[in-house]
Amino acid sequence: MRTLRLALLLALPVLLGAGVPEASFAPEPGGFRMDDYNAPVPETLAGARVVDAAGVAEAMTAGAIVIDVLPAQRRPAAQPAGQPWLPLPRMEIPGSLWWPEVGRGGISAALDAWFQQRLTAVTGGDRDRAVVFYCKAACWMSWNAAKRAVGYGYRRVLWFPGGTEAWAEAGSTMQKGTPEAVPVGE
Amino acid sequence: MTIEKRHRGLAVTVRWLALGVALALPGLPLAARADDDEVSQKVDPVEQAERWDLVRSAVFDNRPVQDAGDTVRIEAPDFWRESAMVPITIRLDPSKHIVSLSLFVDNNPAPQVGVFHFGPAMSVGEIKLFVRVNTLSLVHAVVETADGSLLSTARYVKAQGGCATPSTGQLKEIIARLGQIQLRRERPDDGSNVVSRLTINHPNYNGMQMSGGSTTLIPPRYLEKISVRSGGVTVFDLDSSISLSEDPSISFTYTPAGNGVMEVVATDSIGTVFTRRFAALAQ
Repeated sequence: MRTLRLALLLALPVLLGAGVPEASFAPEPGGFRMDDYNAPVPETLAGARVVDAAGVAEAMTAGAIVIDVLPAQRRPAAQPAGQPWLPLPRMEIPGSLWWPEVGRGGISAALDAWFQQRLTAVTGGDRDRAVVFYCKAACWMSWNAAKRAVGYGYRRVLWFPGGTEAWAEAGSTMQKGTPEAVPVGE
Repeated sequence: MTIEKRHRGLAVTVRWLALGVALALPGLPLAARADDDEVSQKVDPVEQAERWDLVRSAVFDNRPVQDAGDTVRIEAPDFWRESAMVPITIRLDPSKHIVSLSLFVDNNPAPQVGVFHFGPAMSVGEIKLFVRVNTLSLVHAVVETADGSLLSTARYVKAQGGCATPSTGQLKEIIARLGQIQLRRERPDDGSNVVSRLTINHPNYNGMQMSGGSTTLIPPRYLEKISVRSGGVTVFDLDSSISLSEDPSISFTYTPAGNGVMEVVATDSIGTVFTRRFAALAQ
């Protein structure tokens, strides 16, 4: 029995998918992160500045636009009657815009165009306006979205990898978010 | 057997093996190796209690729900990396005349995973299945007894991202195995109860996933009802939701009835019905 237990113990890391490096940061990939978004993120983002909660607050005071890119929950069509649909409220940084889906690895041409148009609208076309991207901690979607904005030519992109968890931990207030409708048609 | 199927079978085996290990060694600090994934997932008991009140009242209105004590127990890993497929075991006291079991992942947008309505051929005891867990959540199991009482128990499970996690397979492969039904049975020593595991190949698309390489969301398509009968006598009817994992796999025990032929009927949300019969176990 003891031997069996030991064998199981030794096998455990393999069974549970370990062998994955325990490093806190992932290397920065050349392109977008395509899937498995809830995973350790890079320490950096080329062309953008990494900020913590205090950095976000400071940027906001200076007029930065803050964008939450967490995907929104979508009620499935034809959900049987009697089955509750109770998405948790999304508590986010007060004053944020919530643009779901723009942090996916691959986005449609329609969503890409929508993202660019909305950015142009909220910055008044000023590519030097500071724009902060975040979602949750250890989520690649904010990294992807920020990278996309850098690619659109925005020169003051800020990436807040700590997301809403780090914001809450800093003791800052939060507010319930409302997602904007984004084109993700089937 | 194709390579994909072999691979799939292996994956399922590893899944169950891992579950066995996780449950067999409860003292192991599974959470300790998951620091990166667990960033700041903190429990606020008041918030969680409020959430359960909301879910409970949406389903049971004002009906009193009592603490289940030893009647219902939930076993689950503290933390599970594969959040779209979190193993849950529910142990029910067979002496309590339990007629139904509702399972909830409180913080999922569709919190009710499913409702098992037990029939005469069900041997109430242990049920295992896999659920989606979108974020740190209480998992609640609520049973109804024959006298109409509701009994509840709960435990925390940590996982993140289960609702938006893309399906593990390629679309073509998923469609090819859609609706395949397997029933593995352990031959009973005493010729009575049969320990079984039902697996239905179905992606259970919840409408919130994007497949790798695609740029649009996959439309929802999920199993709504799974019925199991033995010799025409109901083992259980399960009303299921998008919070059930893909390729639903359910372990249960039944008491053979009538001619002992097992029939499984599964219906999905776009109206496709999958049926398969399995011969009675030879004595």
